[in-house]
Amino acid sequence: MKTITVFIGGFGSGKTECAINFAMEKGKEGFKTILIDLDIVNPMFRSSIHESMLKNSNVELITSESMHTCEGLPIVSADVTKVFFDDTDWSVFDVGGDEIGSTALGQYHHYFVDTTKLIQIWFVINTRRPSTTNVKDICALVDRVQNASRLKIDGFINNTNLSYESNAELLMEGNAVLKEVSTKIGKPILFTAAVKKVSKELSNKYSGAYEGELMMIERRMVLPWS
Amino acid sequence: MERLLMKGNEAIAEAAIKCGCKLYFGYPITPQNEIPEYMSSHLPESEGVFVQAESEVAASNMLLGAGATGTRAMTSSSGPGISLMQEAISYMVAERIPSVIVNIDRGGPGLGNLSPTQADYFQSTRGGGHGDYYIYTLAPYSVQEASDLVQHAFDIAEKYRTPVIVLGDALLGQMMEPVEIKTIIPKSYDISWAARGWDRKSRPRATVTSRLHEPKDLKRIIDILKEGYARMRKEDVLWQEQKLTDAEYVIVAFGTAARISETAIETLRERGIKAGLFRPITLFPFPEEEIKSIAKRKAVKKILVVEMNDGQMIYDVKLAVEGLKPVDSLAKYGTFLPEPKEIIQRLVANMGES
Repeated sequence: MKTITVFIGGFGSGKTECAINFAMEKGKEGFKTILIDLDIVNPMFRSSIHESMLKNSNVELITSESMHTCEGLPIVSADVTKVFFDDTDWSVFDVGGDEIGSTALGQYHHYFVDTTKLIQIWFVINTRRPSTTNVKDICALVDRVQNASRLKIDGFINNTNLSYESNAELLMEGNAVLKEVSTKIGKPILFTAAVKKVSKELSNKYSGAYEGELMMIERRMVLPWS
Repeated sequence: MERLLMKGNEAIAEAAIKCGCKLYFGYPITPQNEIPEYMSSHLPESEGVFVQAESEVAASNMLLGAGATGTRAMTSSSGPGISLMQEAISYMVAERIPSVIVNIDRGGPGLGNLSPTQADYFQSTRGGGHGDYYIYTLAPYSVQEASDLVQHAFDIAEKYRTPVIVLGDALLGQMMEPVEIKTIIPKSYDISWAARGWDRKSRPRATVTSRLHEPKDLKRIIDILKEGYARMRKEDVLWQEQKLTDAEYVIVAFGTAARISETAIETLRERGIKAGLFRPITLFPFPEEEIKSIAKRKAVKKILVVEMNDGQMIYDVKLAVEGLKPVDSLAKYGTFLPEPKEIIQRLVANMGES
């Protein structure tokens, strides 16, 4: 079944990291995969900067030149619409943060009622981001993002991290907050995202204690010289 | 206070709020937009006021008015916006109004682009607007330091009654790092000069003006400024040294260029080359005495200035070194980042090993 996976969520929650890693995995598995960079918020650290790396993993990229080349104009490429009609197996949407970023997705909402496709809308959360540290703020954000995108989310990705200071304890802390959110909203935690080192820690110390499947992430949004 | 993962711009805004900034005026421009955006949602929660002005000219003059009341106030912008603010900044200097201005550089001249650059070094350190003055300029190189220095900027602004600039680039504004933002209760200081309403009895009338038509009045103000700059040079020059104790090769760099230089120095050290970093944190006042004393060290053979512009800080370094040692330049202009290997090549070429 043709699948559309949407990474949506808080500003700076790690949607791009998750989307790039996920799309590359699908590309490598042999699916005809397209990554749609729909971010109209961030001028830098976008999935578009990794076009050649994506290409090597068999992932086509749809992006808008104007966002990162000149004036940061929030323009969305007309090419985006094609993924709802062509023979793409797996379309991965990397959406901008918060309700502002999600607004760009709202215009496609009528395509998402397509019953011939599997639609997955995943909400990425890092509880160490300043606007999503607690249950109340996260629930309010989910509301605002659902309204702006005109879509309902299917579940959460726990991506709680402090960049190069990440560890399993942070993920477990995010897990506890998200469990409460999950009960309130009635949507599951689908994945726990972790870099290799942290995922080892997680399975050694907290096997079975965290929600959802483990989603392996390799950090791509790093400083240009590192 | 727990550690959070924040963008440089967000951390700057939060740090300002946490040290008592009550008023923010601004106008959007990339790559600093997260500052006004964060302020618009979080400043009102701390009983502050956010105003989106109709232009940078308006924002900077609102800042002037707010600062004249002795209230902690801030604006932020980039490139063309900071240029538009220069008139108000010059007036604030003459009127001795404390304020904080954050400049997240963008590529120029002109509209330029929104990529990382340090091309506003001259503008920040040479006054920038009309008249005889300098601006205390802080150049952070990490998200943590950006938040710490914004809070320091408010203290300096009040200590000297002057506008202070915090200078960063697009990378610093956009990158995310773990950060811990301190809550600081501002020290109370004498604000009898401030225009906060007058009851005609309890104190003389406070007048904030830059109308200095008599030469002696203008000279008096400039003399006060000069006293301030002399005191800054004594008490408030900031810098950081890394691996300089035995260094033969000294890289001088600030902000993001210093961050990149750290990586180069690590590699050089692994190769057994004794390289170290001198990082000016205040660009004005420039740590000239400190650089001169390093240049005097016997071990030091060469000094390389790495910057993301066409070579601006190198003038200050050369003035400080006074010809004691050769000063070379790696100047990356047009919003291109210096790469660690370029920095290494430049140093190695100078050692006759290329």
